[in-house]
Amino acid sequence: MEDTGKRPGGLTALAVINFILGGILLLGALGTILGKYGIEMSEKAIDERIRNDPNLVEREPQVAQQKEDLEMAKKILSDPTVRTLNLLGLIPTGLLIVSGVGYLKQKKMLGRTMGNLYAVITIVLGIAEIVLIDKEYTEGFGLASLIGFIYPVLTLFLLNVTFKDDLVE
Amino acid sequence: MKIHSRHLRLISMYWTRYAVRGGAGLVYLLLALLFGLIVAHIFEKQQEYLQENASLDPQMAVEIDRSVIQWVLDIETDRNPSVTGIPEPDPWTAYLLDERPALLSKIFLVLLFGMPFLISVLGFNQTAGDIQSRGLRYLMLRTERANIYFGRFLGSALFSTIVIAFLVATIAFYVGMKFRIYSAGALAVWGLYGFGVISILMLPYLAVCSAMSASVSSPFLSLAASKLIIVGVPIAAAIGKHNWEPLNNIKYLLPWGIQNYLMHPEWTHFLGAAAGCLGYTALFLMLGYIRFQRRDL
Repeated sequence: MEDTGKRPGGLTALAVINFILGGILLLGALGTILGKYGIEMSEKAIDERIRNDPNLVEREPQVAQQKEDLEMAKKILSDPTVRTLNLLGLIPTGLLIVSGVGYLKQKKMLGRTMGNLYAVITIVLGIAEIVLIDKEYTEGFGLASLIGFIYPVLTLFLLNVTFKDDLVE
Repeated sequence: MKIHSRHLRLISMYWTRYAVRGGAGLVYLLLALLFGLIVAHIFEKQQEYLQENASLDPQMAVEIDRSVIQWVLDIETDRNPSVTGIPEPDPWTAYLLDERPALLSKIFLVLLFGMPFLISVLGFNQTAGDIQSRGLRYLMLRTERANIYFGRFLGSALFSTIVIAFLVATIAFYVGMKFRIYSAGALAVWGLYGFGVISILMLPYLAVCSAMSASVSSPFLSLAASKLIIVGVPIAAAIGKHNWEPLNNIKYLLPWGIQNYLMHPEWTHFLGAAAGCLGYTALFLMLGYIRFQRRDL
């Protein structure tokens, strides 16, 4: 019932998921870059409102909260560890897309090796995020980080067990 | 109908193993894990918020949960004041929120509602793809149609059960380790119960997918039809109810109307709901089988 030469449907699905995830992560990276400018613009707008109306904070306490939140976001984005990890996060994003192509072509190097590399780097970066980033900025290990580990762990299992003999070209 | 237990076992075991290779199982696995863990994460945040803000009255939070669950379960809210003057909680929500680990109960209720929407991703291509490619002809030289049809249903059900077991075990273990507000025994028992009811609930919806898959010759059409039926029935009932109350009974076309009783404290209600789910499963499976038996493959 199995044909090793033909690409299994699961491998195609894995490639499609890779492209979707890769696209989402790229948009996320773009959002981080644009977010920095967005924060600065919002901060300027709030400062100007306060300058024009000195009683604004007393009248609308949520403005002070907004300003505080923006300052925190700015602090997080300018943290060297966060910046380094954000930058390193681009590597698995690229590997996701490259390995997706490899799955479709059933290539050993482009598919299996790159896919494994993506999974290992993502797991290492995920652990680094939990361990290295200031607890003030993150929640530490939780269900959210567990969700982040699902796909790389599954990728490792699928590439080395389920589709081991399909990525040989 | 000739069913050979060995053929059935062989086909179902192969189908369970093939689920991930085929793609449908892989997508279902990912979606089920993502959905389940996101739901658990939302309730985790709620619990953390309660624990971090000591000024909040925990009983008030339980009462808010109780009101939401009463609305979800359609429980009449004529709470009679007891001798102390404090309204008595109704037995159903008291069972879910006070007697059992409340955090797990809330997660299970959302999973009971949401998991049927995902099951068509796993079950849509049990036979439709092979009917379209005419691949079933080769298989039929060696076994009966009944073995293929029921074997693949059992294989999909087994795969779904394994995924649910993994999901519920992860959530129960995490809740136990993180909050330490429930005893390990209570979590294990309630986790096992939740796993059981979600697994039973998947069967009738999977049977709908089996029937659709056997009735049409295109996997895409089978997926669309299964999704439309499973999603459409509760939506039609909800919309219909506002226009004419009896239209609410549309929900009984599928187990939507009875499935919440799987979490009921009374054993008679639970057994009735479980028997109902198995009855729906038998009905949809037989309808699909009749079509599969008669059609040109």
